[in-house]
Amino acid sequence: MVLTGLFLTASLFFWWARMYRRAKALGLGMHIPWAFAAALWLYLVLGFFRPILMGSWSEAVPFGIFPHLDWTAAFSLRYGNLFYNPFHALSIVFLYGSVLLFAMHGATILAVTRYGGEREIEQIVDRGTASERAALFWRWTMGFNATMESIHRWAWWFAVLCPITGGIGILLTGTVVDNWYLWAVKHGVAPPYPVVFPVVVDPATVMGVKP
Amino acid sequence: MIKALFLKGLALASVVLLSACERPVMDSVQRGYRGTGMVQVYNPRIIEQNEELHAAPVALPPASADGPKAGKVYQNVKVLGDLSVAQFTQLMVSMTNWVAPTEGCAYCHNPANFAEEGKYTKVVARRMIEMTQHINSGWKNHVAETGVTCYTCHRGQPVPSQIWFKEPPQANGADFIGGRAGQNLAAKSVGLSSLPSDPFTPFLLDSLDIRVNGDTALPSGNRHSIKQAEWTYGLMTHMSTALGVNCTYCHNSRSFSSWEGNPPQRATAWHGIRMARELNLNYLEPLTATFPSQRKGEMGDVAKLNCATCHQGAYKPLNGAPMIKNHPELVGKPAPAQVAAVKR
Repeated sequence: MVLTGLFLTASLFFWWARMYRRAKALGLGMHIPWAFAAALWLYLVLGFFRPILMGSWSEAVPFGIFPHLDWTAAFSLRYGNLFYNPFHALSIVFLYGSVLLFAMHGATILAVTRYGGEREIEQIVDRGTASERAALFWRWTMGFNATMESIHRWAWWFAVLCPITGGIGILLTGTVVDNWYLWAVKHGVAPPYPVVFPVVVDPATVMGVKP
Repeated sequence: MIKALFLKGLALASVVLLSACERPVMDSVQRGYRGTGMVQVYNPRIIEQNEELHAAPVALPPASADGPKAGKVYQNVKVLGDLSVAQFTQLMVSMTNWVAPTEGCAYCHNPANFAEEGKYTKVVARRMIEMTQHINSGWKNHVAETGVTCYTCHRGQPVPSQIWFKEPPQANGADFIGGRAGQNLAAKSVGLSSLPSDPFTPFLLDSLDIRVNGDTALPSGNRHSIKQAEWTYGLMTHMSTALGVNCTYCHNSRSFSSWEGNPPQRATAWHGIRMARELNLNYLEPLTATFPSQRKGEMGDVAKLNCATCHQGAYKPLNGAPMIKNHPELVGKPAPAQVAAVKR
């Protein structure tokens, strides 16, 4: 498994190097390699940095479709409910946010293609009726609009922040915080709820009964 | 033409993708405070389909306690000797109906001499009567006044349908792949997940730690691993399947380890785990030499019980029918300190 992980990591890093070199060769900005590096950060946190901090390779994600899904659930169960991890929450915001922005942007461009909106780069420097109408649409529906350029920056940052915040949340789990639910109670994140069920005592704590 | 082909393909793909799903509409029952996900989801069609499985059998008319005692009249009666002959016969007929309705008395007895111990089934059956009495008197914190009879597990079959054996160790793959740590098999025992497929040996026979959560927000020495959490998860998946409930039947949705705000059923289940463990250790494993090899598992171990053995998919076996009401002879003498007797 360690050997498989080594080769997987090597191939991912060679792919990153390829992206970097091709972008340089074409005289592009470094947006693509840096975005891919954000994904590599989460990958390294899960399989390398965190296992090293925890002192055990068995803390890493297993390979396989079902095994890694079961691991994800077990990870949350072991560390007291990951939904109380604020970085996990941020990561979900950026994940779903990326999907939403992608859908909004794709739909907007398709909708203003009849006014030349598909020439996005031209519209950035020479704003035409396509940009005006798209902006007006979003201003009317949600009171705010991006521009032909800024929508791409929004989307890039949402996509990149998803693995960056997620990686921070994973790195803190087990190393800095052992039980996210208790952490959330301690910091007033988890609100108290009214008592509904009759109170039961943990039988393991009853005297004379071993757990 | 292409559009028609595309639509056909789409229809076929949705049939294939959805074939493993249960169709809506589900019944959902809110149990906890609103918005906290404390909901039980039932498929009314599956419940209807299993109605017969969870129906309690009709009890025979009660027999008179008068007359000579079975222990005096019959030979070699070791556990039910203080019943009257009529009561004794009534129980024997009930047991035949519960366990061996097609095989009849001769499944356990030599028809020429009912007192003889020639058949292993008779030896096992006696020990199982003792076990039933022990459950009904010593494990009231799990079975309450509902109790169990032979039928709770056997359901008209000589061997209960829901039993488990130890799993043979997994073969190592090629040298670089190594072992699979007892998992990744899409096992039925854990709801076709890749979780460890035999969560019974460590928890319902041995008593390894089921609890993996720490009780402090920040790390304070809890070294339970995610792998251990997967074993616990396997056991809990079994319990959920065996009882036909979701996690929140026992746990509160916010913290599975916290005992605050969870349904009282969790304490009943806690005792159930200890009960299954004690019965496997004290009643079933000691019968290893008694059972013939064709009744044993691949590892040469006896059939053992887990939650599904009695529950079979219902949150109360036989939907909570009070089984011992008609069979007070199956309630043993109170045994003190049952839980403490079981090692951790």
